[in-house]
Amino acid sequence: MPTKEEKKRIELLQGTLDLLILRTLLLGSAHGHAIAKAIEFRSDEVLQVEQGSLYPALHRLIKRGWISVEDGTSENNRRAKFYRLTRKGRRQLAVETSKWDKLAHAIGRILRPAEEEGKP
Amino acid sequence: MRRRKRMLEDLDQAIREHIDRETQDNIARGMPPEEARYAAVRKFGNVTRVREETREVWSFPRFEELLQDIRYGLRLLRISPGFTCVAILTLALGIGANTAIYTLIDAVMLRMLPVKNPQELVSLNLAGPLDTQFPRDVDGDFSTEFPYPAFVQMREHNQVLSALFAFKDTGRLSVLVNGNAEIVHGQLVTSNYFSALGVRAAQGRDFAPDEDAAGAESVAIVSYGYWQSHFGGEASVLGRQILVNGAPVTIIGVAAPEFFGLQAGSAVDLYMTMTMQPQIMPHVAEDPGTSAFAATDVWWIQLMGRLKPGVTAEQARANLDVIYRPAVLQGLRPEAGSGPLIPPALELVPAGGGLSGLRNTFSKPLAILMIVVGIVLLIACVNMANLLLVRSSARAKEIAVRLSLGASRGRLIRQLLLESVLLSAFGGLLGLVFAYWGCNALVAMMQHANNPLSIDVHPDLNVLAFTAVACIVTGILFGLTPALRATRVELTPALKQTAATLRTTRDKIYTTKTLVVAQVAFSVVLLFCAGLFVWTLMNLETMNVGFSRDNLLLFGVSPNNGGYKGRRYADLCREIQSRVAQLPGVKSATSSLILLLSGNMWLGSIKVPGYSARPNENTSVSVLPVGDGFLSTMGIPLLQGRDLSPRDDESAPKVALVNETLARKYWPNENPLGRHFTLRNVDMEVVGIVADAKYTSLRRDIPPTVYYPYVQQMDSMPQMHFEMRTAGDASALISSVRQVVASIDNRLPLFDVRTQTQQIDDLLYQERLFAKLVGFFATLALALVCVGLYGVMSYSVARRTSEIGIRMALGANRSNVLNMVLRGAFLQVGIGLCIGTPLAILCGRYLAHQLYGVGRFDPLVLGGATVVLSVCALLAGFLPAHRAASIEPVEALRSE
Repeated sequence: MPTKEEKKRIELLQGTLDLLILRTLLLGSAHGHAIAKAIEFRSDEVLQVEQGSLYPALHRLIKRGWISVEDGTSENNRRAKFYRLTRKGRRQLAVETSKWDKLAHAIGRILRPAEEEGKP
Repeated sequence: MRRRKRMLEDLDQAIREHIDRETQDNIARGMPPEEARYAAVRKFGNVTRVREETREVWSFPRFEELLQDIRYGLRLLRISPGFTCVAILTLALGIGANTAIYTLIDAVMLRMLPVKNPQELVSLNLAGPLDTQFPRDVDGDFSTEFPYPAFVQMREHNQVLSALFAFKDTGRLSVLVNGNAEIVHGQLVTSNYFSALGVRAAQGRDFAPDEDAAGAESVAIVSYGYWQSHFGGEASVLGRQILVNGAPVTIIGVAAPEFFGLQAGSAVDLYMTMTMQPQIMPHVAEDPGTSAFAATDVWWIQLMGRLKPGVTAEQARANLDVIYRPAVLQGLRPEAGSGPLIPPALELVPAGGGLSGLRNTFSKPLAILMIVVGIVLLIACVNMANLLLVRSSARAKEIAVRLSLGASRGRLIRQLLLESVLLSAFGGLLGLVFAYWGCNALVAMMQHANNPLSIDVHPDLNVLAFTAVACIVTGILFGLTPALRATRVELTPALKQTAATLRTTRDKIYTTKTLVVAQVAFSVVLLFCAGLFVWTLMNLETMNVGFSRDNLLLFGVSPNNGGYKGRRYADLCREIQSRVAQLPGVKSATSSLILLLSGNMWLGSIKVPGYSARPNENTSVSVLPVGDGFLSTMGIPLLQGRDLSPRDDESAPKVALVNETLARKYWPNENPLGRHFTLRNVDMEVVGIVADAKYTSLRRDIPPTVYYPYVQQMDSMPQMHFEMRTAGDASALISSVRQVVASIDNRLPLFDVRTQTQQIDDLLYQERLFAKLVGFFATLALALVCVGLYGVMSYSVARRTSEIGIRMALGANRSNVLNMVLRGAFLQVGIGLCIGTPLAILCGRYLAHQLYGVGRFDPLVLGGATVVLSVCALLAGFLPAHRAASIEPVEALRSE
């Protein structure tokens, strides 16, 4: 039985997780748990990330060379893997962001043509 | 791969840390520790799935599956070594035979010359229209040779070639090195030969540009092979002086190791500049006072050029043609009454693969052999397919289990195909070994004394690629049907039964039977072809050649090369003839310019008073200058008139013998004795008529032939051959003959020393090659067919054990059962024969040119092939049939 709170949350679209990870890492390197938290927090807890699915996505990005991984120490002095955006990843983020904007804009126009026109 | 392993190890740690952090966060929010951990794990999701998905990111699933399949396939092959050995051996024979023939095709026909940018090379050839003022060769085709002045004109004035060079094969040369007289193959070349080809010198230097000018010092470049074999590869060879046909020549360089000359298969040992022509090839310009370099009507050098970048062969031809025509017409006047002279047209032929001589000789035979080995491979494939089909019924249960556990059919087919490709890959590896042996054996078989072959049969990338493709195609070809069949299983019955009692679907046995029919059809084609070739060889070997071929020893010398001319030449030959005739064991001896049935001939145009030739009629006759006692020694019967005698000498009137064919053609209704004719502007009187005898080759019809005493016309006699009729084994006399000639002049090397029988064998080498090879492959195919038939029959008998048991229990006797089983076998063979016979006749038509004295669909040969195949099939089918007839009905019924 889904609770009322859970109903408000939205499942991520296929493929958008990669974009969110890249965007999150733009602010600086982070470990996996921090990335998950950041996505949830910055979307006002609307976007629900199944935390485990973060890891295949991270590895996919590493394999493509968009992020790199290094050993580091977290805020509470624990060892952790830190993920960092590479230069290639930064370029890719720009590409993906503009693609996303176009997609969102296009879908928006199809869904609400009247409102679009009605605006002054 | 290592990176992948590290990444996956790190993943587990990262997941643990992640859940720990989430737990800490939850505790911080006030959850009890146990619940906090539970919530964290729930939020993370399925750890195993995360691991799998991450693993997938890093893996190459297809590649891994492939490795897995290969490992599994190898294990299966190890489990049944008997099957594996038979399969690999079958395939190795099939693929090896194909690789061997392909290696030869590659070496002779496909490979480019080892020179710089070979695709730019063109050779200059001549083509019709025919005009008697211009030279032709034996077959009436134009030669590919040009007059020297035309070459100079074209070299100086063309705008299309970056280089044009000339060369001329000298044939055999006598070379004196370290006091030993030896025969080498030489070539006269222009000084730009090596530089135009882009062939570097391995030692020493190339010819200098002025070294082919008149009066230049005689210099030579030796081939790498000759340098290694005769000078031990020592640098001291440079500057050495050798005697070539008695003329001193200085060696100045060694050609690059990979360069063998311009024609694959016939290697040149010695390259000399054109200036050597008067010493080495004086017969090129025979008339006194003419120079081969100035005469516009002596056609003797071959030409090759290198196209400038961007120039097409057609543009080059047009440009050269304008220079060539006036150059060859210069100084020629048309014969009275005939139209203007039309020189043969110039043609440019791509020469990147070298000159085409060997290619022309071997292209058809090699194509035929390639088809033959292709058929053998097909039969091997069919056999393999049958083996696999039978085997797949044993594996039906395994396959059913895998299918029911969810393996996709595609995946299983892929795996089965991989197994068959694995088999053919092993077969191919072994086949490469077979091919290497086979090739060397083949080249040895293709050798014959007149034309020593040097073919490089080391497998190159081209050949390896061919074998690899052959392996894969073969594997898929024979594996596909069994794989498709094997995976079409009805699961429930297959799972219920044990392998021993498993019934296969009816159409599986139909498939194997169809395959046997195909094998029979292929095999009857091969047997028929083999029969045709064997028959041809037998016809040629036993034909009446017009003279007695047994106990005849032959040898040749080149008195010219030893400096003998005119009278001294004749005296030398007389002395050699009389001295060898006195050897014990020699009945009589004679001599002739050319040996009979050596593949060589000498032609002359004849004019007979009172005989008017039709326009364009071929008035050339075969000419043979002979010594004393030619007819008696050779055993050619004299029909009318008298034999030549020692009294027909230099001062006597010129006389000749003619053969029956000539007499019939030119004096159809008269007695030719005492008549005169003109041959090469020499008037001769016919004093005798002799029986027809073969001259050049066994296949060619006996040409009109003139025999005259060589002493009466001593010009243009490059060499002399001697024939000795012996009492016993002719070859036993060889060493004493050598001693005799050496005691007369030890600078005269002997060549063509062999018996007449050996010489005819050499002439028939191609026929023998075909008979042997096609016979071998046909036998191989027959054996494969028998094995296949035996396998299928055994399988079908085993399958029908209980049926036969019931039949016998109901009163069928042994011969009924025997009949029933054999009838099945014969049905397959019969259908195969019906399909194969028209195919065989079709092949026979394609072979017509290679055959002699046997029809293209000779019923005797076709019947023979059918009988041989039927008898073998009967034997192969009899064992299983006998086993079926020996079934004890009670046992058979109980086995169900």
